[in-house]
Amino acid sequence: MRPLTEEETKTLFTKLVEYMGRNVERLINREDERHCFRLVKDRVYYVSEKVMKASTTISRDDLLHVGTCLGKFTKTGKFRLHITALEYLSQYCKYKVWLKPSAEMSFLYGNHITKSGMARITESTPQYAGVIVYNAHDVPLGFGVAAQSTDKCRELEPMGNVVLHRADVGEYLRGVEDDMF
Amino acid sequence: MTPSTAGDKDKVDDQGVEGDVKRNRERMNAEDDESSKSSKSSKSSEEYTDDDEEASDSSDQRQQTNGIEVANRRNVLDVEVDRTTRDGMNECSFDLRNLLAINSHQVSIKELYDFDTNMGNASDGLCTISLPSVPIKVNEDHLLQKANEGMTQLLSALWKLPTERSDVGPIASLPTFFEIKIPRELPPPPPKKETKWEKFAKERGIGANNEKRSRKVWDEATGTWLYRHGYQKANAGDSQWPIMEVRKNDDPYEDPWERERDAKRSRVDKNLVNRMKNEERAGTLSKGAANRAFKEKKAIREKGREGGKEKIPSGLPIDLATGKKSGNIKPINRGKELTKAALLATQRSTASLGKFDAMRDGEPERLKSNRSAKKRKFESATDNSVVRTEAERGVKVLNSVISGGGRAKELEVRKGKHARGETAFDYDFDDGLGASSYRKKKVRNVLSFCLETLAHFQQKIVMKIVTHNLSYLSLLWSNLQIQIIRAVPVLAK
Repeated sequence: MRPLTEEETKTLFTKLVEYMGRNVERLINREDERHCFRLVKDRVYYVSEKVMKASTTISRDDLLHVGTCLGKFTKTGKFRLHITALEYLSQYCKYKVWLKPSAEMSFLYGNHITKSGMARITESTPQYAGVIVYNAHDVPLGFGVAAQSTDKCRELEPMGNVVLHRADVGEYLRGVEDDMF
Repeated sequence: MTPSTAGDKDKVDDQGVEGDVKRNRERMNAEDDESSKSSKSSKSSEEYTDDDEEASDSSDQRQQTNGIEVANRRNVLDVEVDRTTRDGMNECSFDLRNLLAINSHQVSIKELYDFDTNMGNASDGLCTISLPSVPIKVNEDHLLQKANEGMTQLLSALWKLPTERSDVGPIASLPTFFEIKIPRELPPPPPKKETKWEKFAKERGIGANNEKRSRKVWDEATGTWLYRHGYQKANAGDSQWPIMEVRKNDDPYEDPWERERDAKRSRVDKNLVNRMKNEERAGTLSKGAANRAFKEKKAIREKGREGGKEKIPSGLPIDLATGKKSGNIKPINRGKELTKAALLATQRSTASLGKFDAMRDGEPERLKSNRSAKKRKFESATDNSVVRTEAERGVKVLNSVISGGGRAKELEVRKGKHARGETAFDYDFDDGLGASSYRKKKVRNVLSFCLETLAHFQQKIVMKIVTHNLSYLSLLWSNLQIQIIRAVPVLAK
């Protein structure tokens, strides 16, 4: 377990900024307890300071997870967000998409969202911005990347992709990666 | 001593007694209807020689319920079978190499099984099979005595062997041969098949190379005795010296060392092929294996040479690529990328990694070989100094990311917009036209191409179209001159 280097912090924040924008600062500077980012093997964990200090008593081989796993760094140094980060993303995100009930299952199976499945989208979403996907009852289902900006979405054909799937809550059951959890 | 001779010895010694015993037994066996089984077992038991007399318990008589046999059995019991030699012991035969004493004399059943006590238990007193209900006691002392006798005799025989003195006492040297011959465990090796040469030599009566070759041979050049084969072998120098004579029928432009190496390789290959063919004839290899292995070899060797199909040009720097399927080596010319990479590698190919080498004109900057592997300062996860400053540093990084440091910047860096003008490459001549913005198009129609380019660069170009039979076209660019565009119509000839 170690803190992130400058480079790694930069990569991480670049990714988070896509979804949250300035709100990343809320993650860094919290009012209640101080939280920090720590790296265990290749994974980035967002963990409170108290828990982090306690976890240093556990040996490296036996320590699996600490706090919340935000994602992991791939071999080439890119950062990939995991579904486990949804909790914080959904709190601070800027751009949201609401799904129709009919399209919910499709998204939970890992498919992209088509225009016919989308109920609402926040205004002025730029293209390729990070987007949180909610269902009709305002429950966060996952996140993705806006394939088109909001204006272009209006002119899109019904079967065109509006949100490219990145992670969804169904992955907990589907088990997409072996070493995810 | 083989088992049969042991039996013979018995016969020779005491013909009468043994003969009586035998005759009795034969009578017994003849009278019994199911005699085959027991006769075999009794005969085998008689001839069965084992380590110690204890095993000659196999001379156990099978129980026979016939009344007549019982009477005969009593006769057998009464006969004294022991042959006493000296000291009341039976004479043993020895296999000293195995440290073995064989007492092949018959065991006295009367003494072995104490029938006086057992008689009362058994129905007829002659059963020697011990049942849980009717236990038969074996006279252990008798057995022990017999073992004792055998041991004594063995030791006395060993003492008779030739001894030699040593620091641990007298050591007897055992005979070099085994008395008892044990049969083979594994089948004998198959006879060797004849090779082609051996067959030929047999036919022609050519004897085997009787005279053994000496290991060392006199070498003229060094004036010493050198080994006939191997490293620094005798008389090998002719092809290894830097000067080789051109012989009469020789092509003077041929590489003589190449020729030598070729000749050596083909000799080695030929030898190998012949060996493989011999084995094919013998049957240890599948037919055609030698051919398969060597058919391509020579062709491949020729191919890689000058004059072969895959000619590798000399003088030009080339990188060699292997075709994965065929394994052929194809030369590919270095393009810009590979040349750059080669230059980069060359720059640091000195002992001090290019640190003290003078720079030439136009040479790009020297990069360290593994720039990404920078040494990191160790930061403890829980150190207070780290934890407290973490938030500030994080905010700093975040600000830099938000203010134009993020994804967009990465893309720009990749496109080259943030390149610093410090290397020779950055001082390329810039004619202001923006070469990268001009995209080449395939020229289908010469005239239309000219018109298109004309439309693209309306102000600044001068185009000269020179045609020789439709084949040659050249374009001159100048950003200073504005000239009349002349499009010469293409004349077909």
